[in-house]
Amino acid sequence: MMRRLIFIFGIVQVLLLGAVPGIAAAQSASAVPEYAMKAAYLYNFSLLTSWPNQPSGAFNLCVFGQDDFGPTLDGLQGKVVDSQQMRVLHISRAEDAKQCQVVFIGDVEPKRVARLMAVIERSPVLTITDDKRLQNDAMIYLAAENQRLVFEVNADTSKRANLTFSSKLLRLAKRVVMQ
Amino acid sequence: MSNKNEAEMRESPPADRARERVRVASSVHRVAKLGFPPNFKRLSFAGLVAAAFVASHVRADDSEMDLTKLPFEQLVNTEIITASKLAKQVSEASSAVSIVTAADIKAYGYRTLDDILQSMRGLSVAQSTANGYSFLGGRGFGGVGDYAGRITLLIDSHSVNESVGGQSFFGANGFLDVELIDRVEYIPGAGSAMYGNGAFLGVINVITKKGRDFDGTQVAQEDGSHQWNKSRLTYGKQLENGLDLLISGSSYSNDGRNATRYQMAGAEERLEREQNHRLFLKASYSEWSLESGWVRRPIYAPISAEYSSDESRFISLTHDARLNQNLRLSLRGTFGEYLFNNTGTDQWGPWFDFSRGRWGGIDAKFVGTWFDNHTLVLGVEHRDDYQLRMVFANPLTDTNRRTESFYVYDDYELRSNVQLNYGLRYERRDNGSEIISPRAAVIFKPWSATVLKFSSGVANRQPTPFEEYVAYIYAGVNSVRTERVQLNEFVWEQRLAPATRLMASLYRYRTDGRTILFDSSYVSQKVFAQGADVEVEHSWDGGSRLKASYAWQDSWNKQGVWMTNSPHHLAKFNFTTPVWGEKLRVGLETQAVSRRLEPTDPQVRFGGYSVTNLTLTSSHAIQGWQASFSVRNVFNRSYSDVVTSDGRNVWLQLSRDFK
Repeated sequence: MMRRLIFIFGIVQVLLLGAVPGIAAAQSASAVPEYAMKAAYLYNFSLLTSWPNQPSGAFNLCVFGQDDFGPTLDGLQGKVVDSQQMRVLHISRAEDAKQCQVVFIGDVEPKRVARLMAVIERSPVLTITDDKRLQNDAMIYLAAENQRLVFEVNADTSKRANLTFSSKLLRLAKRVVMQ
Repeated sequence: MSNKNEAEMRESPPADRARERVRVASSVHRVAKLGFPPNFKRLSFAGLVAAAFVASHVRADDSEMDLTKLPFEQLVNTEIITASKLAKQVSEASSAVSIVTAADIKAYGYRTLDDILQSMRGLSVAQSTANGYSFLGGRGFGGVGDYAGRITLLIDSHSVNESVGGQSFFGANGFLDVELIDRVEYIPGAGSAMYGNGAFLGVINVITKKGRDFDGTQVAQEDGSHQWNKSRLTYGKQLENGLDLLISGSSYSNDGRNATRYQMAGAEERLEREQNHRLFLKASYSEWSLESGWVRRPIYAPISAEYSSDESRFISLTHDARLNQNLRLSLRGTFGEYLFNNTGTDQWGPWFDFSRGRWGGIDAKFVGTWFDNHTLVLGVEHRDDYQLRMVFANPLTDTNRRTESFYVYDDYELRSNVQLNYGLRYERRDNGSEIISPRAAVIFKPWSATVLKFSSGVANRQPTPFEEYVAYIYAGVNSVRTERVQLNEFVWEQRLAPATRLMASLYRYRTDGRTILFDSSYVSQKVFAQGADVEVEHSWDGGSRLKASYAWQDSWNKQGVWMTNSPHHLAKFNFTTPVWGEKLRVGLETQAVSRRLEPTDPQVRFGGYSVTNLTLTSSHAIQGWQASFSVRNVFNRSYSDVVTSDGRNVWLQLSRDFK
């Protein structure tokens, strides 16, 4: 019995020792926290997408549902996109999405997402998500792969909404789905 | 008992051979009893050390750099530290759902669906190496064959239970290689009104990966103890036009497992060989999807016969349509077949058991959002079991049955933090038997990090064709009662920290008319079950994860007698951490089960035991290669369950991707 306790203790010590280099490696100068990177991607997507009619005023980047960004998204406040000032908003009602140019869908129950999609269908709203359940529904899907942040583009969903992506964005996508 | 059997066999005419075949088919075989006390001290020690790890863990600092100043081309090539994330459930349920993801399957070296279920809160799986079946035990059920017909196994939301006995297969006789699984969700209780007759005590929803998750060809080879050997070839891709295709085939064999056979002459050691072949196909394009699977699992020299084989196949076509802005329709057509063969020899010469079920069905599910704050679901299902053939030595039964079902269900958002789910399911068989199963739940979010769920319902279950057949052969009973369970459950989900989740549930079940096929007799009983379980899950930045669960359960019949194979305590612990990125990862798992009664003899108690498994995985240390090395039952504990354990198991898997 004692031997087994020591054995388990030994294994976990190995894990502890082994985990430290893992953490240390990840903290090397070049590695970036996932959500800080996602915020930067949202900024770049906004730059590389064209909306049909640009009403004057603010460019609204909205987050629907659970917000895992923390302070990283606030850094985008006031940045200039298409000669407009970017505003970061948090919305909880599907109807509020109509005033947004970009909606990032966080951790939300699928039912609420269905309602959101119904409200903004065919409206020029760029939908982005990192939720695997919505991989087919959102226009851009973000995922972590091999320690990099990759993204997929649903070309026909965005076409139906009258949004155009620059060739640079399509080139950098991991995959562009068209039907 | 064996002397009595011997005497009966000598004097009785061959017609009673049928009774003997059925008795064997529906009962378990005795094994020697070995007792080991449960070792919770070890479990809690491991937990303490894990807690020490948490305390000493250094969190990564947020970068001060303004990434928006860097060119996009540079960002896509920059390494990220993956954020801590908890798995999100896919199944619609108002119970506490247990989730195992593809990352868990890899990290903990799960080889079969049995291994996956064994890690879940409140579930225990007894894997019988003797005749190749595994027995699932959980809330209030645990006797051999108890779960059959009472748990529904779904693959991508359609049921794959076989039609004769309502069994679902989690071992080598199941359809899926675990590498094709994206996640497994277990919904205890009567699931929801949406799942049919067999979803009496729970639903296991297995969601498969898509072709694009493979993005090419994958070849894998496994070798392990007891001459475990498996080869697999998988191709998966999403084409430019959007067609997503996944095709996979595999072949497995496992020689040399000891199977102790207790026959009239005494104990007899024999070696048993198990094999399987599998094919799986999944194609989806736009609003259509097609899925098909085939598995054949022969066993040579199993305990009860000389040769036994299970073969299953299914094909399913689904169409999802958006009829208008407020109405969606999902239409599905399914065909399935199950074939069972069992042959051997006794003093009257060679015999064979055989059963075959063939069925087809059409389901339509409408989802309507016409009313603000309401999501209405209406479903209509038609199922035709057009062939149900059973042969046990002599009497051949050739029958069929048709079932029509209708269900309606509403999700009502009463307030922003209060939701009501309620509905009912109506089923009618062609023999006139009707059942109605209503269910209701309240989901309340007093604060943003807390969810409370109260649910209550009644579920009914028609007897399976096998139950009706056995009841008729033994008790001359022409109609078997419908089982009815009343369930009440309370669930509390709490987000303790951004990546820490706590889930606790309390439940009480009351079953009327529980059909028990006990050692060749048919009994209809009242069974009560109650229990509590708790689970904690935590995830760290950088990819370490921890999950620990404890379940207490008690089940008894009307006479107050403790039900068989229903342990009072079940504890599970899982921890995985990368040691060198994903080039080397460790997964540690411990499961502890307390004492329980032997399924066929309440005088016999199986002792408690705990099992520890350790897995090392390596992903892309060399481009395109993945390797996994696993030791199951590290401490080589000898324990008795439905059959004795097979000691320490070592296993190695190598796979290569061609993209």
